[in-house]
Amino acid sequence: MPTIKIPTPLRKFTADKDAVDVAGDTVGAALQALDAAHPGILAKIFDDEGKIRRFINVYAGDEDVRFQDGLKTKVGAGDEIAIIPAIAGGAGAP
Amino acid sequence: MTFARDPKELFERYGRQLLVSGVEFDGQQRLHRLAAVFGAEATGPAQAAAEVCARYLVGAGLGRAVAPSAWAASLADLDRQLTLVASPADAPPPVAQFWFASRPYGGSVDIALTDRATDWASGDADPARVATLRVELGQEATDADAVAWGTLAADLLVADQLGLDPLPALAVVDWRDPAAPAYLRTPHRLSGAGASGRAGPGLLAEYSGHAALRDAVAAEACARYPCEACGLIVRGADGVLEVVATPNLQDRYHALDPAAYPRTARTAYTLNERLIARQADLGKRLVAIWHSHCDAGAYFSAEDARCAAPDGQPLYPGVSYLVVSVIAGRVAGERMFHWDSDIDGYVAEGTPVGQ
Repeated sequence: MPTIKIPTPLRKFTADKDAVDVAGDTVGAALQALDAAHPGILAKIFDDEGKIRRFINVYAGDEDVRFQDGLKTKVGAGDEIAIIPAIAGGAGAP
Repeated sequence: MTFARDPKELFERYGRQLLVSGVEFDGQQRLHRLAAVFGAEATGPAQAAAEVCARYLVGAGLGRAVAPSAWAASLADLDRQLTLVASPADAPPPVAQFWFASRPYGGSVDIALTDRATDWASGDADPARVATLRVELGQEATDADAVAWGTLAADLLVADQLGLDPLPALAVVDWRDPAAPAYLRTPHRLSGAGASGRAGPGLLAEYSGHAALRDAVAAEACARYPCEACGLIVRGADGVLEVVATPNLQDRYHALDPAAYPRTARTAYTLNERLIARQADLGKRLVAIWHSHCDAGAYFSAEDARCAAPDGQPLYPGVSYLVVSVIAGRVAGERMFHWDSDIDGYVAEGTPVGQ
C-alpha cells in the first residue's frame, strides 16, 4: 500500500493529515483511491483534461512521474508518492 | 556633472541613500547609476508621485521614449503640472492615485492628481483630475522595479514643486565617470525603510547583512548565465541561513512537453521540489526560493507570480522569493518578495539589496 504525501494547501481535504495510505498499484490508481477517501482533492491535482496540472508535480520516488510512465507509473507497498506544488517562474512578460 | 547640493553632506545629514542602476533591456552595459539622497519626507503623495518620476528619469536615462503621449511630453510638462497643483493655496491638497496597465511587452502608468480619493468600494465616479501624467514603460521598467527606484525622485520633482522641506538633492551620476565621488561609485549595502512603505518579515535585512549568502547566490547565478539559476535558502535548527543551489530542470520539462512548458532555462526555472523534503530531513526549514533573471531586472515577473500563486494563494505560504538580476554575466541587483495578504499578491520587501 503506497503512501501519498499531501502538501499543506491540500490538507484541508485530508483533515490536516500530511500523509495518506491508499490502495493502488499505479500512481493513477492511488490518486483515484485518494479522491475516493477524500473527495474533491483530485480536482486540485488534475486539469479539465485529466492531466496533472501545470503547477502540480507528482513524484514517485525522487522523480516526477511525467518523466516516468505518467499516471501509469507502477508503485508498490511502501512506496511514496508526493504531491508537490511546483516551484517555477522566470523573467519577462507572460 | 552638477549637484543641487553636495550629496555627501546630505547623506550625512539625512542618513539614507539609494543607488540604482539603469540597464538596457537588450543586455548591453548598464548606462547609469542614479544616486539619490533623501530625507524622511518622501512619504504619501510625494512617494507615490516619486514612482512615476523615477520611471521617467530611469527611462530618460536609458534614452527611451517614456512619455510619447500628448499628456506629458517632457520633464518640463511634469514640472508645470505639479506647479499647477500646488496652487492656489486654499485648494484642498490633491490626492495622488495610480492606474497601472501592463501589456505583453510593456505597460503604462497614469498618475492622476485628483481632488479626492476614489472610493473603489462604492463605485464612486472618478474624482476630478487636476492633472494627469501618463508614462509609457519599456519592459525593464516593471511595476516592482518602479517601486524600487521610486523614492529616489521624490526630492527633486516632488519635494521641490510641492514645497516640502527639507529639500534633498538628486544627482544623476555616470558611474564610469572617474570624477564622480568615490562613495557613489563604490557598492553600497542598503538598509532602512523600503520604498514600498511596507515592513517585510525581516528576511531581507538578515540576508543583506550576510555577505557569504549573497556571494553564494551571486556566484551560482553568474555561473549559470545565460540560463536562469535557482535554489533555496534554508534555516538550520541553529538558526543559521544557508544557500542551496539546485539544478534548473526547465529545459528537461521543455523537451518533454514544449506546449505545456514553452520556455527554456534562458527565461524560466523549475526546481526539484523534493529537495525541500531532503532539507527538512536534515532539520532545515525553507525560508526563501531564489532564482535569477538573465539580462532582465530583479522584479517579480508575471510568470513568477503565476507560478507562486496560480490559484490566487501562495503555494508556499511564509516563504519569500529572492530574484537576482544578472546583466551580461554580472549581478546587477537583487530583490526579496513576500506575500502580502492585504493585497493578495507579492510585494517587494524593503529597498533593493546593494551591489
